[in-house]
Amino acid sequence: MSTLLEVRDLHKSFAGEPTLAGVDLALKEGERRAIIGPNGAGKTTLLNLIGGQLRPQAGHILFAGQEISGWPPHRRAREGIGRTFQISSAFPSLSLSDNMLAAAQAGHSWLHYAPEARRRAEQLLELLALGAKAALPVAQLSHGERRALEIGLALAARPRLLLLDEPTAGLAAGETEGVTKLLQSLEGVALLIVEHDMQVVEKLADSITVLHHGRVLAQGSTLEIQANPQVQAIYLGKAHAET
Amino acid sequence: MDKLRQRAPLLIALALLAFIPQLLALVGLPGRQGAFWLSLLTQMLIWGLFALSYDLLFGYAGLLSLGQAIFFGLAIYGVTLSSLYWGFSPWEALGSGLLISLVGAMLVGIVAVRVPGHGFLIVTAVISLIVYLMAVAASGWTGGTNGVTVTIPSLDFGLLRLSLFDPRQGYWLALGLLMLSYAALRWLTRTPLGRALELIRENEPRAEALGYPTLRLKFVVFVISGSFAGVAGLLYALINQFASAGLLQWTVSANALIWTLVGGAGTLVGPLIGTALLKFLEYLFGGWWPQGYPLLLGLVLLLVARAAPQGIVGMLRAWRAQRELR
Repeated sequence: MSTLLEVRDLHKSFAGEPTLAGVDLALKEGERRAIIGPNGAGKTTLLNLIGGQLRPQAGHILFAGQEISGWPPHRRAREGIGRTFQISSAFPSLSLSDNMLAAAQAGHSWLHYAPEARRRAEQLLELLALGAKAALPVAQLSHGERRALEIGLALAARPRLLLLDEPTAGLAAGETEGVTKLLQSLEGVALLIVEHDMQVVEKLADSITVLHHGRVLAQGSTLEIQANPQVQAIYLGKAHAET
Repeated sequence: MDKLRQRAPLLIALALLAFIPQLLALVGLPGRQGAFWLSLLTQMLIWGLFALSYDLLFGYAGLLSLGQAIFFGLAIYGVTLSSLYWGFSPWEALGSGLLISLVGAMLVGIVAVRVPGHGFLIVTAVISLIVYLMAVAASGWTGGTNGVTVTIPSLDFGLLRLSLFDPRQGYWLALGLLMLSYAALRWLTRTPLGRALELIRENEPRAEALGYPTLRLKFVVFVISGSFAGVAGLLYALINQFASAGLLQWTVSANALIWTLVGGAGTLVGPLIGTALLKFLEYLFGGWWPQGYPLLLGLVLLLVARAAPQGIVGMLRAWRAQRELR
């Protein structure tokens, strides 16, 4: 399998405070990688740099072999990078089906809705089991339904890489399971998941990257990371102690 | 059949509007009185078209601008000054009016749409002020705040020659142009492009992450809406045969904002209703208590903000939706 995403020596600081201090990361086609780390480790910043919401001060981001670090977000999206946001209300006053159709229509004609986009939108609503609520404005959906929609919007353009920022945050146990199953069922898309819930990470990720103070502390399979004493000390140990 | 039933109210309203000149004559208001009412209606149509252009920008794309009057005023000056000083024919004058508002919208748009958030409002208001002051500074040419008058007696459509001195023909011209613009904008808002504008209003970063080039889209809608403001300006110039620097002021844009809010932003019909209602109230008060209108306007805005944030049309739609639920 070839490399889909390569991040080299990425630096980002806010007001002189380094948030990322030289991060390297490589992701193969179809690989599922979780990014964990304590609060302030730079996880969301890393997603924002890859998605284009932020620009790095130094370093490279290569997607399918192309340097994309200077591209605006919409160009990265067209090129195959989808993302979800930690807090997103999608397009609140539009109906669920209009949300999905608009997401599927991106990149098609400005004047006519593509039949293909309509099919894709319907297919996704079915996949998310939200077909019955298609006519409701998004503002009237539950938190769990909105998280599912958030993933559906990101999937509409059939991305090759999906950036997920805490997809299960704030969900009830049953809803978390639903979102996990949905993500497990995806094929042919690489996942980069920022997630706090270790159970979700175990189910979804092939491998884990641990960020700490803006650097990669460790990288490896789920078992390797859980056995890593350094990781236990700064992150897992603390998390276990809390519970 | 369903489509026809849906459109029936609009068609009936349109038919009524088209025959208003005859109706006024029938109820015995032919002479001066009838002409007065007709000219009030014509002004409502002109300003309604201006509000319509504002709704595309503000109601759909969510861009709160105080610079819309720039393109309205530029078109008016384009028509009046070119025919006054260079002897342009009516059609040439109209062409230059539209062109200058289009170019103006492109120049202002390139600067303004890059400014995020409330900065956009401030930038458009400041540019509006600058253009106004430039027009005042060039008073010798533009007439400043006193304005200049021009005489364009008629508009030749080949088979048909419209006399602009006849209130009825002016009224029909305004009605026709408004309806054409309404149809064009209604079509536009139903395309994926129109939907993309709503995405920007609802959640710009999300739209961009889905692959929508939001900056380019904001520029495009700024230019389209500015051009429709220009069309309203052409109409103003033809009907009123007058231009004044005051028409470039940010307060003129603020009026469009108020009409749009009262009628219902993002509905296209709403701004027309809001304009007609508030223009009528302005006329009522103007006669016996000119200071009363701003007070009333404040009261109306307060009422809309408290009781009907979606405006008149939004309120009617909510009622209808509730009735259908029962």
